[in-house]
Amino acid sequence: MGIETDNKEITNLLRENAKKLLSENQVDVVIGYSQGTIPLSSTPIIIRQEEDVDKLIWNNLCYMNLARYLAPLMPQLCDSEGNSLKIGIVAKGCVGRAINLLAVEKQVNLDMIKMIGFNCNGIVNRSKIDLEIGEKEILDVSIVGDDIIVKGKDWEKKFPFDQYINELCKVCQVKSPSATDANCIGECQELESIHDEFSDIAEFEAKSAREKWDYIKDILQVCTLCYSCRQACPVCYCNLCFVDQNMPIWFGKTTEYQDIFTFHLIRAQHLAGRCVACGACSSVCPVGIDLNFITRKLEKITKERFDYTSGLNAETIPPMMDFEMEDEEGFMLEED
Amino acid sequence: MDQKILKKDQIGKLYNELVGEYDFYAPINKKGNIAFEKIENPEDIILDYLNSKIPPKSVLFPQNEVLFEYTLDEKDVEITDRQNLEQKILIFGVRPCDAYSFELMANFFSFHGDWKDEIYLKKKENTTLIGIGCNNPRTTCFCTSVNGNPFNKENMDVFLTDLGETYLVEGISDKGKKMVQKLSWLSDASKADLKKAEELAKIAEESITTKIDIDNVVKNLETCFEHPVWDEISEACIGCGSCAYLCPTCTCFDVIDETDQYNNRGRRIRIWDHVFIQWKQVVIILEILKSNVVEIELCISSATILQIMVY
Repeated sequence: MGIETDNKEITNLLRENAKKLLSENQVDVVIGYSQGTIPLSSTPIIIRQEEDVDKLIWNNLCYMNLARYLAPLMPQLCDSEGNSLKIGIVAKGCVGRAINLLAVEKQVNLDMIKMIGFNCNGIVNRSKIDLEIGEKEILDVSIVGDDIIVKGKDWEKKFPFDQYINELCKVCQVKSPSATDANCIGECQELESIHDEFSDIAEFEAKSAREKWDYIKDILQVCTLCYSCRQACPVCYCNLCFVDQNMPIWFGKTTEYQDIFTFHLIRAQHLAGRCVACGACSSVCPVGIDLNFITRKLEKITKERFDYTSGLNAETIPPMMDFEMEDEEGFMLEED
Repeated sequence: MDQKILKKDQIGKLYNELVGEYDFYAPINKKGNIAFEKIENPEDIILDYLNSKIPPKSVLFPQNEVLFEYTLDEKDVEITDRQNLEQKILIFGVRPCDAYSFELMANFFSFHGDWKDEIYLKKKENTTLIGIGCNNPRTTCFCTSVNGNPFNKENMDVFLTDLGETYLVEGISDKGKKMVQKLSWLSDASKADLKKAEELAKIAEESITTKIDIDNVVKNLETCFEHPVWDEISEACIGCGSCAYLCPTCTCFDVIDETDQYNNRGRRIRIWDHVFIQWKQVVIILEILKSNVVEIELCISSATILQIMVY
């Protein structure tokens, strides 16, 4: 047994279930992952016919959060008469969380969605591998046993899988969608709450305010403000993002660090208690910025103050959309 | 003799000689990304890179470019041009494809002669390109299909070839030839050096196996405009537009005014932009435009990226 075998089993499970859903007319389309056209990538695909289900794959490079394709900003899947299609969606844990959150926020209709759940075994940290390979062309990436094998023209490098997955995946506890039987087939789980130590951000938290400032400034200096992170995010779906408003202009749009900073920190605040920790933002970043230390810190604050983890079910309203008289107000005076 | 030899440890010497006269830009590794930046320390320069991540278009067409600043008083507006367009620029270590991109950009910024973007064109005129041949093109490279070549010297002023221990230096344009002559400390190249450079060029050209038939692109597009392949490609696209920002020839920009109303001043900035940012709005605009018969130009870049520019 190894990651390689797991992946084969998952791929089979996805194909079988997709085929079942399509053949029984339970759904009109299935959204899943297909082989990417370049190494270290995968491409989301929308399957409409039973015979195409073999295009579906699972291979630890399926970093996109497919719930993005259900969010209202994306072109909605409709038939020729404009009626919404019933959608099957390949759902790892964080896709399930995102769908639940979109349902709580009344952006998707769960009756029209069927999740094909499975136990995700982690997503490869592309930028970490890219950074270590440096200026050499990667021609092939495969998983053999429990290692990631990266090959080039006349070289080969081995990366232990458990060390080279996203930091988020290392601490992830929601491996499969937490959903009810009605909208999930395959592997699903029922989760009331999770216990998270947030050990991945301990190092960041130990820094002084000054060091945190310098650290963030250093990481963000290569940002080109292409907004890929926003576009890939399943819960960033504003009709007009605050940075795109230009009558009047609310925020600077240059790549001076103040503007980069403003964008990332305000986007992070919009994600407080909503981020589902899928890591898609970091995986799609063309310049390899890892934004997760910001979103994880927010997740931790939400957990501590409101005992809330986003997307565990489709009923609990996120704390930033709700209030209770007992809510603490201490943070208004805190310096941290 | 026009062909000289530069030793690899002489890059610093070359830099010191030229940095007084030019703003010296070269590729550096910025957190794992190759980008062209103004060089402070010649040891930062990297020449054995695959290709640039942030394209060198950023030197002449920066992501943010202050066009002018202004101050207001009760009666008047005073405008200050921020840029010194006379400053000489040197872009060192640029690849042939990136060098060609400057020609295409200049073409765009001349708007077929209708009007001229003087800022870009003036900067281009004051720019000297010292390029370098591409010994190891990537498997995704296809320059030979679009009149390019990994050792294309056409758009360069000076051309370098990495011979392993040394660089072969060739003056290409008049400007470049004069520059090479001035660098009198360069040693002469031997026949063996020239032969080696030729061989490297041949190997590099042969290694490009991705071929695209561009002659029939227009004809084919006309007949397959409604082909389902476009749905397949566009359905997966999340519209992030980073392809446009990392493209050496994408020219879309936005012009914004930043006003400091408390101090009665402000600045006008041109910034990179791409139509994907507000995809939904663009689709609506396109619908309106179609009904009003406004020219819509579709430009197909590389093999899969469809970008819609609205004039």
